[in-house]
Amino acid sequence: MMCDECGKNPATVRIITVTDGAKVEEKLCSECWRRRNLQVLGQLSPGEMLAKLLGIEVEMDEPELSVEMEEVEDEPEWERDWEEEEEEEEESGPVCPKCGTSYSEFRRTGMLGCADCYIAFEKLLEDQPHAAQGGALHMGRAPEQPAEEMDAQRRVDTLRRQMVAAIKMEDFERAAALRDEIKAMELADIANEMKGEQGDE
Amino acid sequence: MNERVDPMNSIALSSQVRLARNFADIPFSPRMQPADYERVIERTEAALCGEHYTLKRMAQLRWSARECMMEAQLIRPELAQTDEGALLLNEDKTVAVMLGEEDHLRVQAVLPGLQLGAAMQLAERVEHTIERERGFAFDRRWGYLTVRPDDAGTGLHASVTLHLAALYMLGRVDRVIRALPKKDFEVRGVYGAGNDACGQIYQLSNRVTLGRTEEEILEMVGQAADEVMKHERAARQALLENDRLKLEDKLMRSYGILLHARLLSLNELMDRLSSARLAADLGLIDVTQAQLSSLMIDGQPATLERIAGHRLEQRDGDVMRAQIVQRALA
Ligand SMILES: [Zn+2]
Ligand SMILES: [Zn+2]
Repeated sequence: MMCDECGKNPATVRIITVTDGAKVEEKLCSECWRRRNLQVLGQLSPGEMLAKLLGIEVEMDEPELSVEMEEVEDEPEWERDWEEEEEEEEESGPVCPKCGTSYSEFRRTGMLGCADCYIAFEKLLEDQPHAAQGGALHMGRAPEQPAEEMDAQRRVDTLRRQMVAAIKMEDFERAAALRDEIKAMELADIANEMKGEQGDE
Repeated sequence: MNERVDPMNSIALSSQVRLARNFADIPFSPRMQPADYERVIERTEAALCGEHYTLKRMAQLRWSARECMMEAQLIRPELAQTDEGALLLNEDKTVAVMLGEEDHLRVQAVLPGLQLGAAMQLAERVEHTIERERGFAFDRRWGYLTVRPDDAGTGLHASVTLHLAALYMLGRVDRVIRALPKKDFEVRGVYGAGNDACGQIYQLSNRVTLGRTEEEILEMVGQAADEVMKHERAARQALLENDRLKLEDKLMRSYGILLHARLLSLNELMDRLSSARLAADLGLIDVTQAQLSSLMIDGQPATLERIAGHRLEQRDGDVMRAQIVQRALA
């Protein structure tokens, strides 16, 4: 289930806003939820904030603050699949060829044995994103790599992952749009390279 | 980002940045042999040689000395509990490189006030110096590889230590903390376990390290800290406007106890120091925040024993604590 606001991240919070007796339900990702929250707090005038702090509950229109919040409960499909699978597999998960750490050992301790574990367990780590990290891609800096090159490549990587996710969720319209975007980016890349080569001659 | 140190309004006591890194060619801690710890220590020490760092090996420190370092927030319990680990500490104690904790390296930089950007620069400079010697485990998809995938990506944990005295008095700390998204931020009491933060000192830090740039993480933590500080400032304002004299009376009575008590338990010290901080912020007493910070560390059990030079039973500790406070504030 994707966020109602940005459509990019999985929804984690369900917000029910009651305005004039009408219930509006929204599902948001943590990012959008945070932004919304900051907006709400930012909207309070110093006087209102003061009143709030002193415990004087002033009657005012603040639909966003009267929200009932609950974590979205239905867990994604793959997560359930995985848990069932694991019960069957017990100790027989993959083992890192370099350090000998087994995936079930990692599941028990939360700790990996070497850098190669990330390769050995890549698919599993991706399918079982860690609590907060949510299957995201690395966006931060890298050791000594040309920044521009990284950015274009990373952008394509992100789009690819979003496309795969869209297909999994049977949102084929979105998947097609993403595919076109990836194609366009790759074409632009090739055009750039050709320009570069011509320039060299 | 909005960088500042504001002595008149010292809600943000310090800013801290921690980078988790592992060498690519050495197994991670669950698979490390004693010789691997040696390699980590030697390599890092060699990289930082000439930069005036002091190496402290855990194996050469008694437990009480490690406790003192924990009380001063220089190392975490995970490092104190190993014999193989070590700490490299710079001269002014702003940079601490923890070696052989969960990750090979945790490069930590701490600066006073709200200055995450400057703390990051400090930590990154040290990290680059070490990286130049030997490569860190890195993967395009996962970023910097860490023992726990929860830290992978940037490997960056940024935090701001906040003194929330007024919010505490008004019983609003929980509410303000709960307004921050749980998935993005962690808030814990620096002293004392769980929510029962001793001395009303809290540390706010990011949870997510992957999928965001370093700048974004610093920005997020800075913004969240700003938000909490705004609430604390409003709470202080509210207390003052409600009954200024009553607040001043409460703070000054508390300070009187700090100056004249014969017995001070750790909990009481922390609470009285918190009031004293607020009193200093409001210009009621002529004591610096730095003085109060160092008393907060000196009053901790292991540090107190180190000052005394011998073990202290609880009651002797309370006596000693009262004495060092009075000596410092006299
Ligand atoms: Zn969203
Ligand atoms: Zn491995």
